[in-house]
Amino acid sequence: MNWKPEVIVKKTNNGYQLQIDDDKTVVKKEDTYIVRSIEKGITDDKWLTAIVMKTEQIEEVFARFRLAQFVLDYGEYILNDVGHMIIEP
Amino acid sequence: MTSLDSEYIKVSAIYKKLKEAENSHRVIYISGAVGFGKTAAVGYYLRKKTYLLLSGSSGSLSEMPDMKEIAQKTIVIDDISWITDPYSKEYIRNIIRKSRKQIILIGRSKVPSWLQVTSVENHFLLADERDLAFTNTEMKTFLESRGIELPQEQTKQIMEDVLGHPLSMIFVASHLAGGELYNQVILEATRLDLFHYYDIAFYDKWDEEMRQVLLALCQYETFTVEMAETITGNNRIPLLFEKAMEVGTFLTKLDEKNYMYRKPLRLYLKWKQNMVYSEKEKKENYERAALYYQLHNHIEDALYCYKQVGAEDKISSLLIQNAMKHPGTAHFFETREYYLSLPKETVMKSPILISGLCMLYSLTLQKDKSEEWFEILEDYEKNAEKGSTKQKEAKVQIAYLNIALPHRGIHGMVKILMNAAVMMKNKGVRLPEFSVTSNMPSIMNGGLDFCEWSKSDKELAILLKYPIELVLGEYGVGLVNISLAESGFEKGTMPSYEIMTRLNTGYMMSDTSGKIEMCFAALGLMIQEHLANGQLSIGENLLQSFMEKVKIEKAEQLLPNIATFHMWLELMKGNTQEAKVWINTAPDEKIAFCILDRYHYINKVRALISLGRKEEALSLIERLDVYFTQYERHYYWMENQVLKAIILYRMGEQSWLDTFMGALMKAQRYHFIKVIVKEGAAVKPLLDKVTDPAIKKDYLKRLKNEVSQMAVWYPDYLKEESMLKEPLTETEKRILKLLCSGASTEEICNICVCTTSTIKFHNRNIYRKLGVKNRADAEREAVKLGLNL
Repeated sequence: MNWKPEVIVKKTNNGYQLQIDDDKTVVKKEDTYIVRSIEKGITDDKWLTAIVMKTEQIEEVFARFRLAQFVLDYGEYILNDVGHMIIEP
Repeated sequence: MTSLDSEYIKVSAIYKKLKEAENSHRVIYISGAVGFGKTAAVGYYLRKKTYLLLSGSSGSLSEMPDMKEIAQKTIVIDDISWITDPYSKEYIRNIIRKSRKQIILIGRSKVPSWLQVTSVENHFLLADERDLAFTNTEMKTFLESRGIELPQEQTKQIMEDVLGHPLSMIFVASHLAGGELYNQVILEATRLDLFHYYDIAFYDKWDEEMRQVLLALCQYETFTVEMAETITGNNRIPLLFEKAMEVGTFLTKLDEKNYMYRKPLRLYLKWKQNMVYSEKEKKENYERAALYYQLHNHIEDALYCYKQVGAEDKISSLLIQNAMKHPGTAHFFETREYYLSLPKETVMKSPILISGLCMLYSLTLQKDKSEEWFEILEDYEKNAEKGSTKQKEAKVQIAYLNIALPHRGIHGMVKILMNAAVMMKNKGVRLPEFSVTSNMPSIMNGGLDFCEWSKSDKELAILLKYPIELVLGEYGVGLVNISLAESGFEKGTMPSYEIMTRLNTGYMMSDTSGKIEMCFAALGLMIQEHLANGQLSIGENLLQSFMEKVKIEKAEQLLPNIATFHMWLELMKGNTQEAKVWINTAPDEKIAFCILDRYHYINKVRALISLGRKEEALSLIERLDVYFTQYERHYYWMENQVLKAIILYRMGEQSWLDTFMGALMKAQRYHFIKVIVKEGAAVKPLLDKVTDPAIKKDYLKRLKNEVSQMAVWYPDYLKEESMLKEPLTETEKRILKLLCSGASTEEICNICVCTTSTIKFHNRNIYRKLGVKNRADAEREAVKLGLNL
C-alpha cells in the first residue's frame, strides 16, 4: 500500500492531511498511525496488517477489515497498482 | 345412433381419409376423444352401404362371426380401445390379416399396443381429431343447417371456445336455436351439456377404482405416479394409468415422470368432484398432496395446497424451512403471496419470518416497509430472552440483512462484514448462506453494486480475500480472483491473459470447493472477454458446455439467466429470432416488478430495441431507472442510460446527447469502458458525435477504438429488425452510406465507378424502399432503422 506519486502528505498539529492538487482530506485520528507507518516506508500489506494487529490488539481478519476500510476512506490517494498479484487459491 | 349421427354434416378431412382407405384397400384407424363424431363420421360415409358393425364397449366384441359368413364388404369395429378379451383381439387381428374386407376401426386412444404390429404390417391409415374437427366453413354450414346465422366475430369466438369439437357444436347450436347471440352464458350451458354427456359416455364406463383415482387427481395440473399413490393410497396407479392411456387420450404423459389430464376432461372431473366430494374430502386430498410436495421440495406447490386447507401453521413453518434452506433470496418473491397472507402476529413470533418479510419488501422496491420490519426484528432481538435460541436467531438474521438488503447498497459494508465476522468468531454462529452473485454472471454487479470498490480493486483484493471467505463460506471461494478480473475487464486495464488466468483460477476454485453460481460469474466474464476479442463462437461454446454442467448438477436456478445470456449473444449476431421467442417468456415488469429479474429486464430492453419496439423499451427503461437510482445500482444505471440514449438517437430526439453524456461521465469516474463498448455498433454513431471536453480525450479515444472494433465484429448488434418490406442490396447500402456522409452525386459516381443515371436509379430504389423522398429523409430513416452504415 502506497500513496499515488502526486499525493502530498502534510503533517499538521492534529495529525495528517492528504492532498492532490486542490483536493484535501484530513486523516482521521484513529488512522494517523497507519499513515505514519506508510510514511516510514512500510508499504507491504502484510507488515501493515501486523502493525494494525499489534496497535489495536485485534486478530488478523479484523486487521484486514480495518485496512480495507482505510483503503476505501482514502482510496483516491492510494496507489491501486501492486503489479501482477498472485492471489493464492 | 348417437345424437351426433342424426345431426352429422360432412367433414371433408375425415371423409377424404375414409375414401382414401377404401380406394387403397387399407385399414383405417380413427381415434379421438368423446364427442368428436368418429362413429357419426363413419356412419355418414357408409350411409348408402351395408356394413357389419361390431362393438368392443363391453371389453369383448359384441359378436365374432365366421369370416366366411360375413356378407358385407365393410366391417366397422367401434370402441376398440375398450377391448381386453384376448379372443376378441385375436379375432380382430385375423380379420385384418385374412379377410379381404374394408376394415374401419374406431377408438378413443391411439392404436392400442396389441394392434401395433398389425398396424405396421398392414400399413394402417390413421385419422385423428384433426381430421374429425369442424373447420370454420363446416361449422358455418352446420349452423346454417340449423337455421342459425351469426356475425363473423361470433363464429370466430365459438371456434376459439370449442375448437371445432362436433358434439360441443351441437350443444351450442341447441342454445342458439332461440335466436340468441353467442355469449359466456351459452358457453357455460354448453359445457354443462357436455359434462352430462361425459357422465354417460366416459365416467360410467369406468369401475369404482378408476373413478376414485380420476376424481382424486383432478385437483392438480400435473402429477406423478408417486404423487398419485400418496394422494389415493392406491398402489396400483401404474396399472391404472396404463389402462387409462390404452383406452383414451384424456391422460397424457408429459415427460418421464409427469402426467396430466386433457383440459376439457379436467374441467369435467372438477365439476364431477364438486358433486361427489365433501369439502372435508377435498381438504384431506390437498393435505396429502402438500405432504408429497413438501417431501419433494416443491415449496410453492406445497404452500398452495396448505393454503387451500387453511393450514396457517404449516404455511409459516414451511416458509421458515424454505428461508433456512435456500441461499440468495429463498424464493421470497415466488412465495410472497404466502408471506403477505400471514397475520402480523404469526410473523412476529419468528425472526426468520420477520427477516423474510423485510427482504421481500426490499425486493419489491418498498424500502420503507422493509426498514419497518427491520426495526421490528431489532426490537425482537432486544426483547428476546438473553442467550435464548430466538435471540441468537434474530442476531443472525440482523447480520444477514445488514449485508444482503438490496436497497441499502454497500454503505459501511466493510464494517458490516467485520461485525458479522466478529459474531461468527465469538459466538460460533454461521450466517444463512446467500449468493453474492444473485445468479447473475457478475460479482461486481451481482447481489449488490460494488463499482465503488473497483477504484481500489487490487488493494481490497489482497486485504479482503481471507475475511470474505470467512464470512461468506463457500460463496467466498474464488470470489476475489473473479471480482478482480471483472474490475480489470470493465476498466480495460488488465491484459487479456491476466483476466483469463484469474477467471479460470476463480472458476476452478469455485468448481472444486465453492459454488456453481460463482462459476457462472467467471464464465460470463470469460465469454465477454472472448466477445471483446471477436471470438463469439468460443463464447457460445463455453455457454453451451456450462448449460450442460448446470443441468447435470441440477442448478436450475441459473437456467433462466443463462437463457437470457444466450439471447444476448444471438443479438450480437443480429439474430432476433431467439429474442422474439425469449421475450414471450421473459418476466413482465408490468405484472409484478421484482429486482431479482433485473438481468432479464435490462436484456429485455435490448431485445425490444432489436425488435423495433422502442416505446416499450423506453417504458421499461424508465421503470428500471427508478429502481437503479433508488438502490444505487450504478452499473445498471449506466447500461440503462446508454440504451436509452441509443433509442432516443434513433427516434431523432435531441435529448439523446444529455442522456449519453450522463452515462459517459459516470463511466469515466469509474474508469469503466466496457459498459459503453459492449453496445458496440449500436452506440458507435452516438460516440462519434461526442465532443464535450468533459470527457477526457484519452478516455474518449480508447472508447472509440474499442467500439469501432466491436462494430466491425458485430455490425448487426441491436440492428432493428428490418421494417423494410424489401431490404437494401449491398450496392444500395453503399450508396446510402455515401449519401449519409454528405458526398455529392459526382463524388459518389467516382467512388462507385458508375454513371450519374446509375446513381439516380439506385437512389430511386433506396428512397422507395425507405419510403422517403429525399436524401435528408433517407438519412433519418437509416438512423431510425439502426442501419449501421
